[in-house]
Amino acid sequence: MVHLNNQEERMLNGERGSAVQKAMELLVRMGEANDAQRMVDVTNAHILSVEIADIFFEVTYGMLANAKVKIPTTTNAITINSVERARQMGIPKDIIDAQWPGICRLKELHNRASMIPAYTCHPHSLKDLKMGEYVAFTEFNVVPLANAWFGVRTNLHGQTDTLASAITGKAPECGLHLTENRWGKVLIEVDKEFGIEDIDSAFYGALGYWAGQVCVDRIPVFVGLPKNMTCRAAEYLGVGPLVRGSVGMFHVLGVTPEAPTLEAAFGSRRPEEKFVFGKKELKMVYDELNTATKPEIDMVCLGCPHCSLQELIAIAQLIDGKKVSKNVRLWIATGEINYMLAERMGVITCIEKAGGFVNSNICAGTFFLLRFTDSLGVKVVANNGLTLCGLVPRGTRDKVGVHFGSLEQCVNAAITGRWEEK
Amino acid sequence: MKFQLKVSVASKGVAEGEALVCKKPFTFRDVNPTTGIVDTPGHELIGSKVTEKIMICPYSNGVSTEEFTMYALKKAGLLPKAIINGRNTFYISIAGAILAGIPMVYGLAPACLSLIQNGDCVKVDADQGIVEVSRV
Repeated sequence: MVHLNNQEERMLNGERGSAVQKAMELLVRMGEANDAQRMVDVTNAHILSVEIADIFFEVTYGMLANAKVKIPTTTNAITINSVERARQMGIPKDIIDAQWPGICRLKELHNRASMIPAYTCHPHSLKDLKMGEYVAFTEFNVVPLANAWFGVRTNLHGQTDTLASAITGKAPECGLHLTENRWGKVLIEVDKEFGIEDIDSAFYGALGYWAGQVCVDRIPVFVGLPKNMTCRAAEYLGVGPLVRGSVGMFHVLGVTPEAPTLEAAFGSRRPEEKFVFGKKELKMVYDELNTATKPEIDMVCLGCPHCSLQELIAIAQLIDGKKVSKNVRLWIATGEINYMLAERMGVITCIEKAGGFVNSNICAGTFFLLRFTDSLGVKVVANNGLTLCGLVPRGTRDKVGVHFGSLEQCVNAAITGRWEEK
Repeated sequence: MKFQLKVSVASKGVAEGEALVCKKPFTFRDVNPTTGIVDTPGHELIGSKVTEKIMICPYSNGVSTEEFTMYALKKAGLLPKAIINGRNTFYISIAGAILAGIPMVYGLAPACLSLIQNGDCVKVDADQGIVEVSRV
């Protein structure tokens, strides 16, 4: 039974309009399904907008009608940013024609509802997040990073209940909102055999993926990672437990805010299990994720999740003065603010001069690879992001081979047209 | 043979149909949205059609668009009639079941869940929190 205060009761009774009433009804049902005792105030929301635009529009409109959001609500990446750009990227006309009207309607709806049209899967930098506050976020990489790195409290929400939270400012208190559900259950020690040079973005992705496999729905506590690990590294690390398991939270001892000590990370309890992640485990993950059987590649996707400014700079440095192989598409995706800054720095020009495409607002490629591999003629894709890597083989039913590795490996593969093992 | 199980309710409603059991966690991502057939290579249910079935699995997992896949299946008339989970772990699947308007229940220990077999006739009463299983 979810106890509602007067304000929430009034919402449920329809005193704040029918959209708010419908939203509160859904939140109460979600609360009942998750044994919530009460509602909490949420300060921020992030919703999805990618995939089939028409269905997104229908579901979003069904929830929002003409209501406006009550709390700052950002939107996730879309599939096409402009028709002209999509044509330049070689996306077939029939896909553009099918997608574009839905995207326009969806964007209009977002604006009408007073959402922040961020169109990025890394919205954290646009938000003023304070540790301990409740938020309602969707998306695989957004949720674990928000919980672990920023210490805000969110479950891995669906679209409809996030919209409901966005227009009411409420969410049922359950799951990762509760302190005792945020404590670690499994200790994962990174073997000392790894040197600092071994630990790149792909390493973090692989470690997270392996953790998801052994933890399933239990929160991992990582021990032995560099104290100076970046937010971006944490983002790569956090995706794995969700791609492979179902956990939207993790701790890194001495790094993430809720894990200053092992005692704090585990809530003074003993770990249920302990594992060591060594070179054997790393190889196992790489073998599983690298499904491509030949080294020749057709496509390199970077920016799943959206590239940071530092990554764009790194790509430009690697590619400066070189050319992308004529048989390869290099698609790079980032958020609009990073794009603008990179443009001012000459980074975009440098990458595009070499033959790469840097796009703001759109999904790095997961969407196209999942749905339209045949039309694009992509057989082998290289990438450094686990979301794409984990989903592509499943979504494309064995049509696309994947190479997974570091940013450097991916950029080199784009230049030579061949994947080189480390 | 007939037996009843008491369950917790994630999404309300009543439905009756034939059981389709998945021993591993299940996601609708593995279902082809134009046929309703599981077509992911290596999947234990490959070739099975989920449409009109009572889907039974230890828990639902998936991706952040799970809800939309369920909605797309609903629009195509290819959804199962109800979902029975052992435990309740994936928030989005609950939202998806509510959105798609099909009953979803949970709260069965592995030993109880394993009592339900492929082909059993299962009635899910997610208003009362009862699952009734009959086998000829």
